[in-house]
Amino acid sequence: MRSEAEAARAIDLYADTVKRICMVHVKNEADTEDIFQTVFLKYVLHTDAFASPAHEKAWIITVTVNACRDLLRSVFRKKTVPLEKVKEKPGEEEADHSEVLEAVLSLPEKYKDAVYLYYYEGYSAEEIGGILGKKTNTVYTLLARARQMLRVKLEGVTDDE
Amino acid sequence: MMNEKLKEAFDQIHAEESLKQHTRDYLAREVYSGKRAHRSRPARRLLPAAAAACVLLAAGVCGGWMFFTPTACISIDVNPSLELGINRFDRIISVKGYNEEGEAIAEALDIRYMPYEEAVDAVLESGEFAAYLTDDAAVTFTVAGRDTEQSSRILGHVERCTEGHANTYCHAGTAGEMEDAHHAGMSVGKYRAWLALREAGLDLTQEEVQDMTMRQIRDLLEEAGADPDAAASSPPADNEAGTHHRSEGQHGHGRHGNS
Repeated sequence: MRSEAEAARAIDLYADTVKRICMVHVKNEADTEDIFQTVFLKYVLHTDAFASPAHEKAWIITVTVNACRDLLRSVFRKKTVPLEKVKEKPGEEEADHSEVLEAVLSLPEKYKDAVYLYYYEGYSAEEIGGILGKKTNTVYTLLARARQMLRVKLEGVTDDE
Repeated sequence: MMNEKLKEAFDQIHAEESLKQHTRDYLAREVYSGKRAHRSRPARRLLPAAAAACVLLAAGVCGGWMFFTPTACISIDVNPSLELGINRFDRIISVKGYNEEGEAIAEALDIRYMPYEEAVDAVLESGEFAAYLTDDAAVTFTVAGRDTEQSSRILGHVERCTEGHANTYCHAGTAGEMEDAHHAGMSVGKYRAWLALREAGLDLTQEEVQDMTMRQIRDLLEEAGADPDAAASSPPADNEAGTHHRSEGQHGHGRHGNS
């Protein structure tokens, strides 16, 4: 079992990442808190050493994605994610990216993780395949379709990918 | 560029300090305190279930209130006077005796929560009540209630049930009569009889009427030249006219000629 200090470090380091993945999937703060508890409890109880910080981060992302999937299967929650629920604080943004976030949130569930991991975290299709447990070609297909949908949704907001 | 837009958009999202702290607190409780505590979150997850339970409880309370609120009654008067309280679901929710004999029968009957149809049959077939169904007795059923549709339905059933019984009389009362009767501590049937006697010019107190048999009351009314059934069906002026409905079959069945 990892120490309390290690847990605190992981929370500080990965909280934003976990929060962003939660944001694209879950509806409310209570669900997000649930995911946080699940992810970091697993982290504390995971005694295998990580090969690198990147490995550790990928492990955190995988656990978070799986926790979100579990929650999505729960009968207690709905599948929609109102944007106002996931924004941290109104007025905090430097620029209004609501439309971009809304476009991502409106994607079917299966595309969201790939989009987030590819566009935000900068993972390759192969790495995303490893994290999500999908074939690389499947990831490419997901990304291509997601890009197409986002382009339609964001017409006028952005001109190019 | 879409990449930049998406990156900028996701960059806005940060874990709140409170969220981090709650997670630390949770781990401290769950893992590091030495004693396993319950996860706080499952309680939250159960919120919808708890809310549903509250709704069910509220519905239960409301339903309970509805269930136990009488909307109609069947007053059965011979010499014993008893009343069956009926709820909107046509179930018997109370059996009350209005005199000593009535109380004895009410105590002996096990008809609470029965559909009123079965309850009426049970009353008519009960040994306690059968003793009063003699040739000379006048058995009066009076149905009253706030819901005229329900009251008519009940009255129709009572009339059909009593068709085979001698000297039985069925009447419709009003909601106002029902309330006034209960205020006076009388069954609706006896209260209407008292009204009829008063209308016929017979100055009897409610207490006196309460101790009389329905046979005696009918005889008095006939002696006074009043039609016991017509007189009994007349609503008092202070009762709402719209709720009064008189059964076509309110004259007795069977041996009505003996009354």
